[in-house]
Amino acid sequence: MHDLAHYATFPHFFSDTLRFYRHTNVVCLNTLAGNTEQFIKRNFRVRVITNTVFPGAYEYDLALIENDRFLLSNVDLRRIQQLADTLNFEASQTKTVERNGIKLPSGLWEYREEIKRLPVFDRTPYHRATMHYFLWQLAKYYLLTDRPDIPGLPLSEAVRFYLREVKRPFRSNREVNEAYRRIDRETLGNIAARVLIVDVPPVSGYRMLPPFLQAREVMVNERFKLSDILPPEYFFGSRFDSENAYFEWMREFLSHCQHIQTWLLMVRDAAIRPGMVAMLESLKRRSRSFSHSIADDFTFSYLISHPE
Amino acid sequence: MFETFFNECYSKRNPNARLFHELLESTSRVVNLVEYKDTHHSDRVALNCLRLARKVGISDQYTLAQVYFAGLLHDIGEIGIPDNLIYKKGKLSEEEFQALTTHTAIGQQIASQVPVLSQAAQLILWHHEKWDGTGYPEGLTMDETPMLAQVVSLCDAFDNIRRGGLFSKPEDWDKELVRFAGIQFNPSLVRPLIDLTKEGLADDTERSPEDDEVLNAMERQRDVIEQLRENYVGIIVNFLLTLLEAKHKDSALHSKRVARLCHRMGQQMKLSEQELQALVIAGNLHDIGKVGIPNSILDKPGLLDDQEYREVQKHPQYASTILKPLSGFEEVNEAVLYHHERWDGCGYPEGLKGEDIPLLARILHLCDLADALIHLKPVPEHRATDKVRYVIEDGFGSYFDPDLSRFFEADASEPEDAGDSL
Ligand SMILES: [Fe+2]
Ligand SMILES: [Fe+2]
Ligand SMILES: [Fe+2]
Repeated sequence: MHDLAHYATFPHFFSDTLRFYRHTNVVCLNTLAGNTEQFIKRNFRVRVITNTVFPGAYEYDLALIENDRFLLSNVDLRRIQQLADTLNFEASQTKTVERNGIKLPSGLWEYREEIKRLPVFDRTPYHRATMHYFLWQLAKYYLLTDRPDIPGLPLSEAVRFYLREVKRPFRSNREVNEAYRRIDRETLGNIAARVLIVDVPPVSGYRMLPPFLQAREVMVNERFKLSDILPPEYFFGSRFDSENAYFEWMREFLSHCQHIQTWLLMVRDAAIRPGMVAMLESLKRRSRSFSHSIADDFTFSYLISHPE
Repeated sequence: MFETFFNECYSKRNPNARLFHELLESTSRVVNLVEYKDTHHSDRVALNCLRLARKVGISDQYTLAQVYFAGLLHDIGEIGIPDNLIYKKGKLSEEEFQALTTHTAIGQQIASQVPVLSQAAQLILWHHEKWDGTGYPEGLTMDETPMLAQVVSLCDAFDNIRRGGLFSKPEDWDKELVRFAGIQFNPSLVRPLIDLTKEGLADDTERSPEDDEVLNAMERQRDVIEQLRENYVGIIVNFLLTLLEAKHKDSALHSKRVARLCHRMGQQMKLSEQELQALVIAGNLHDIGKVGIPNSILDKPGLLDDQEYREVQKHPQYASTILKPLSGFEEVNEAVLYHHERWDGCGYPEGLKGEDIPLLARILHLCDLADALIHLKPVPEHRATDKVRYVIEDGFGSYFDPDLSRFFEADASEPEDAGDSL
């Protein structure tokens, strides 16, 4: 399977379905967190409730889904810029250091340490989430320093650019959104929502994250380990020993969402689609399947499921 | 759909018509008409896309043709966005920005009306995704955006840099590209594009023989041609109507109703099947030239001043420009071009008189006005068949061919949204 097929999501294809639902709640169970929630928040007048298990993913949701405003003051921004000016490096000359699978200029690791010492970092969870989001943007940018022909900007310039840029994704959809990390089944059962969106990874789970998502987690916790967060048979994205175990777990989990009318299930692995449909039937749901070819070797597929 | 028409006007009369090229030429004229502010931005982007894709190792002609079309049509969705937004100077509000972002999905919708361009349509959807994940509509990060869409996005941005005015020297273009590598663009595409500019291959609007070969290959590819032959006319009518609908919904609805009126009248007159189909096609496309006229004029509530009026009067010629490359559409094109000519010679664009006006154009003129009267806005109090009949009847001999009066029945009872039957 194409690498991307494990994690890339194309929420645009849900638009037709979601257009019917205005001023309702949409629950997103998306282990990796990312563009789906953002897309829904931006484009539809709905309240988005997300759940994820990764700390970095959760901070992302906290910053961009639950929070509406860019919280850093001008004083904060100046402080962050000053720090970058002090620790400035030329991307072409600095040496890179690899930590936890992420190779970045050593100066950026240092910058990250210093940022985490700023008082603003601990002001509220939202400030922290915002700072992590900002660090992640920088990390993504320098992840690419491997290409000698295009070395990239010096730190102080990259920071100047992203301090301006990082405000833009903070936006309101005029609804109060919520981000959860490891939502419990009872809470889930009590959320009055009309739409449930689930990212259904392959049975074997996530074995590693793509570099840009790994970078997000590492920015939050340098010693992050995928297996700590996703032990076997624990959540979407965990490794399951058999398809049976997988579906059994999912069936139990989803049975707490029966009150939610429409389910959109992104099915990452075509081989398990029949099993999914059967499992949904056992929950007395009828499903239709949709596929969109993205590239030659990659099709984005999902099921839309309704009570019979 | 329109099989008789296709058989007569293509299979018999123009058996060697190059269907793909006709479509391409017509599309390219639409793009240049819609793009009234700048000149040939899309043409340049299309060529750059093709050449950059080739440079980074894509050799499949079909794929290259898709990239070319994606470049050509990348901003076609802007047709649905008010011009004051597209060219607004300064910061956009949140709502304005949201409105602007819809042009990617609208463009995809329009392009996907043509089955052989389905891949291009997807690329259009993603031409504003950025490498760092902050683009729209999906917010894809790095390689999540399909590579070919990255090509389109880079070539689009590059052309904007070049014509920005601030960066007049090629060295400055390069600097700008390098600066946004890793932010907006895939860094591994930037160097090949810079190389293209160095080779002098990045500011053409004319295709080289090598470029042409890509499009010629489409003409030879059997499944492409089969797909086109299956419903060529229907595809074109659909494509252009979707375009008009995105531009100005009322005009598209009006066109569909006029087509139905034409159909009924043509049947009354016992036109041949081929003529009847040509008439219906002309009915559907008669106002397609309005894609070149600003919405501020199309939607103006009061009277138009002279200049605006002159602008509106260009729409038959615009339409004719679009239809010209379609070799089988000669009668259709004539009917459309002359649908504002009057029996007494006081119409436009040429002031043709009496029977000099092609018959189909005369019928079309009548149906066009009848529908405009029935659906006049604001809705008149007595929007009754009688009244329309009265007004129209007054016009036979001056506006309309008096012979047509026998066949005309003003039927206002037709439901407002009588479906999308073409
Ligand atoms: Fe665009
Ligand atoms: Fe007209
Ligand atoms: Fe008209």
